[in-house]
Amino acid sequence: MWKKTGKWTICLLALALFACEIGSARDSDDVLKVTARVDRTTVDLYERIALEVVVEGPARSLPAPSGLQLEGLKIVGGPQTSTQVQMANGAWSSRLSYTYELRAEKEGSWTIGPIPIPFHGKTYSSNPVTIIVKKPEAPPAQSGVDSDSNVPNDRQSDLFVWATVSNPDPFVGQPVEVTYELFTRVRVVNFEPERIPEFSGFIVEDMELPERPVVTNRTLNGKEYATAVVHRAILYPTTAGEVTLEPFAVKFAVEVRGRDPFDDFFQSPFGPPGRSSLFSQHQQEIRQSQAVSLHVRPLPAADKPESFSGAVGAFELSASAGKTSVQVGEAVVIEATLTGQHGLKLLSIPPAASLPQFKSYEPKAGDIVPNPARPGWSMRTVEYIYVPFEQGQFEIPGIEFSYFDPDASSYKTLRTDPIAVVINPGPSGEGMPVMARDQRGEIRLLGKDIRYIKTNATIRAHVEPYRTAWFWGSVVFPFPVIPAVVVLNRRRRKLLDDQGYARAIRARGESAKRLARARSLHAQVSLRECLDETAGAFRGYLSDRFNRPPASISPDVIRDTLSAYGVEAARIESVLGIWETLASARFSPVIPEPDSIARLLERVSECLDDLEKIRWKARVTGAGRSDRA
Amino acid sequence: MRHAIPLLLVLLSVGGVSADESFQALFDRANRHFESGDMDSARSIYETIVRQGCVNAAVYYNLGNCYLHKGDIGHAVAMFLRAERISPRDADIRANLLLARSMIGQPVEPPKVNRFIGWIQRVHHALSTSELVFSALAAYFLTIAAFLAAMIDNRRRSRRRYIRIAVFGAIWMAIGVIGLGIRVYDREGVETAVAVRNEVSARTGPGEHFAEVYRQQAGYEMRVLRHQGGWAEVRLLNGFTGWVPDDSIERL
Repeated sequence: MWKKTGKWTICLLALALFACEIGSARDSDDVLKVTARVDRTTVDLYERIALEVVVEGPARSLPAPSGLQLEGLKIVGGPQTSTQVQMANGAWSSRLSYTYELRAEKEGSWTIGPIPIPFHGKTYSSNPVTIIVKKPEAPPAQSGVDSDSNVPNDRQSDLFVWATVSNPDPFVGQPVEVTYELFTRVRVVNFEPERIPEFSGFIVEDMELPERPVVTNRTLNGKEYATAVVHRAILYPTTAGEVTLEPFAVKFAVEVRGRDPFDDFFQSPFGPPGRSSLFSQHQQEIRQSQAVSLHVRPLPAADKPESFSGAVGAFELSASAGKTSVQVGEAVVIEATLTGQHGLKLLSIPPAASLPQFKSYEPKAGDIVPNPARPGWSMRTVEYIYVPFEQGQFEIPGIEFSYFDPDASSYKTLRTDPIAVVINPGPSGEGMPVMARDQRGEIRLLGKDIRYIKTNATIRAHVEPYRTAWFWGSVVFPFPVIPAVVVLNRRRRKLLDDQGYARAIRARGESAKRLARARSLHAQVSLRECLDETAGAFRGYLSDRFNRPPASISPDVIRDTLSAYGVEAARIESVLGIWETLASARFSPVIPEPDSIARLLERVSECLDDLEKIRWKARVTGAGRSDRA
Repeated sequence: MRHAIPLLLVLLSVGGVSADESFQALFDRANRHFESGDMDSARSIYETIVRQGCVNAAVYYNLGNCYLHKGDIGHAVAMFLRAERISPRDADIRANLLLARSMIGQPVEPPKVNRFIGWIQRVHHALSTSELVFSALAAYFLTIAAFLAAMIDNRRRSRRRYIRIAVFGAIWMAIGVIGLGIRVYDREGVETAVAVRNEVSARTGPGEHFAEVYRQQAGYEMRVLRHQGGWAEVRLLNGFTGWVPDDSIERL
């Protein structure tokens, strides 16, 4: 069953292919499209050009271009081919691309093509492409001469920096683009400026360069170089006369021993060190460009407009207003756009007009952005704000901007149209208010009078609080308090959790209170009660210390417990003696003499003090803990 | 602990401020001159008080009024700004500062900020440094007290309440510390100034031979970026940057 189905599938596929082939044959009658294009149309002598011939047509296979006739140009590489074939709605379509690398061999204007493509009995042709080959303006071979005499000559000519200026005789203020270009036939792995000229006599605007240098190939005197811009700046001359741009020195790290220098050169002359050969070594070399002289021409004094503020070049100016019908106190905003090729950053913004009916504010200039309508030009928006004092119909004069046009060697003045505005009465209907802009940038109306001085103030020297001792004292104060509270809290918790510990801690305090009461009773000659209180204090102390019920305290318990705490026998006997004396005195039918009771009271007090010490020592040894537990 | 309270009292007495009789007498004398219309004498005495190290909002305000009456907008703005730093919500100071600003030849447009950020800036600006300090300290002590109470109290419900208070206090303290930090940076870390001379050319570098960037008017408020050879590089509220002579600005 499966075999049968498989056979049918193969048959159907074959039929489909056959049908497609028929369709292809039918579509091949349609027109082929042959296009020739180059990456640039003007090149220097011996420079390379990429020529791409594209053949597109409704067929599965297309013919290759042949019979490429060239004059003044030579094929030095390629062709590299790429083919795209696709089928849509049963019809084939293909695109065949042939890319050749050509080299300009002779000066002049040379035309490539039309390139004939024969196909199915017809001959299709590409569009002709004209290439102009000119003599290079590049530096002569000796330009690579370096002040560093340690560098061999062949190395110097293989690596040098060349300075070019866009205009060697500019006017004062006219932007001049200076470009420092590296020419190399060796592999450069890194470079950095060693000495940038001071450009004295110029206002300098450095231009940003891509992080990775853009490398182009150029041929000088039959030698091929990789070139890249290492520094570029716009210079605005400030004084007329002969000015010399000092040499620009660059420090290079070059690969001394590569696999094949020429190969490296074509692949990537500016590569990271990691990409070079494992066996290569890097050597630092310094090259400096030639000095360049400029003849800066003064601006003509005649016919200089009043509004001229030093702008030189080509500029355009336009302006528009937001609302032209506003109330008194409401701002009229005029937005002007100044467009120019260079120097917008350094230009003086045209001032706002001074009008008696308006309060004008300092113009606010926006950022400089590329002009989408004019590639290579930039634009800057300037906002003018006028706040009217009075109602009525007024005209805000146009913005005037003058510049010197170096191409025409004359001054030119740009003026925007005046803007008519209608000022309606404000909500208050009052006369001319005083207006001010507060911190938020909002317009506020104020009274006309100055607020009066303060006469009742108490004069105290103000000191910033964070500079005072009390501030830092307050900050530091909690530092010792927090640990103290933590420690006390721990002790409190222990007293709550450990009853034995709490009783032991409080034992001496409680007994002292009772002894004090006993002394008081003794003073009142209540001798029996005094004896009871003294005995209670003694028993209570021992009971608390031993963490036992008071009724369980007996001479045996006292002896055993004190022994366990390591108390000497003599002291134990002394305690027991007091215990016995107290018992016999309390239960004797004859009350002892007050003096002997007083002595007994003192003995008890001294004994408890003594026990307190013994107890402490016993706790240190740890003997008591096991007993308490 | 027994010595903590006396120590604190000593610290308070050291850090505290007390009315200074001589400053008060000078101030009253200057006020009498002002009331009699002798602005120069009044200004001279107010300046003497300031020179002797008395930093006081009323003195600055009255001195600003002297300058304002004489038409010296730059110095007036500088004095009102100094007074506003000490008493930011004082209606008189704010009104006269706005009035002085309105008299600047070509006022500088301040940058527009987001509404929320603007609100925060206004609140921050309206609080004096003392208020910021007290607020941060209050939050600090509240946080510590609530934290200790939560540690001591054994009852779960009370402890939760104290923890909530401690968290609230910590957030308040963080906001207060940030606000205070910004204020301290503003006062100590940034040099601000006011232009006191009209029609001064701000240039691209520290020297007369550099190109003019903009024309400075008295009363312009600015941030000083650096000084070099008698010149100061300044940035206006609208972002314009230029070099102006040191003597054309009054540092706040």
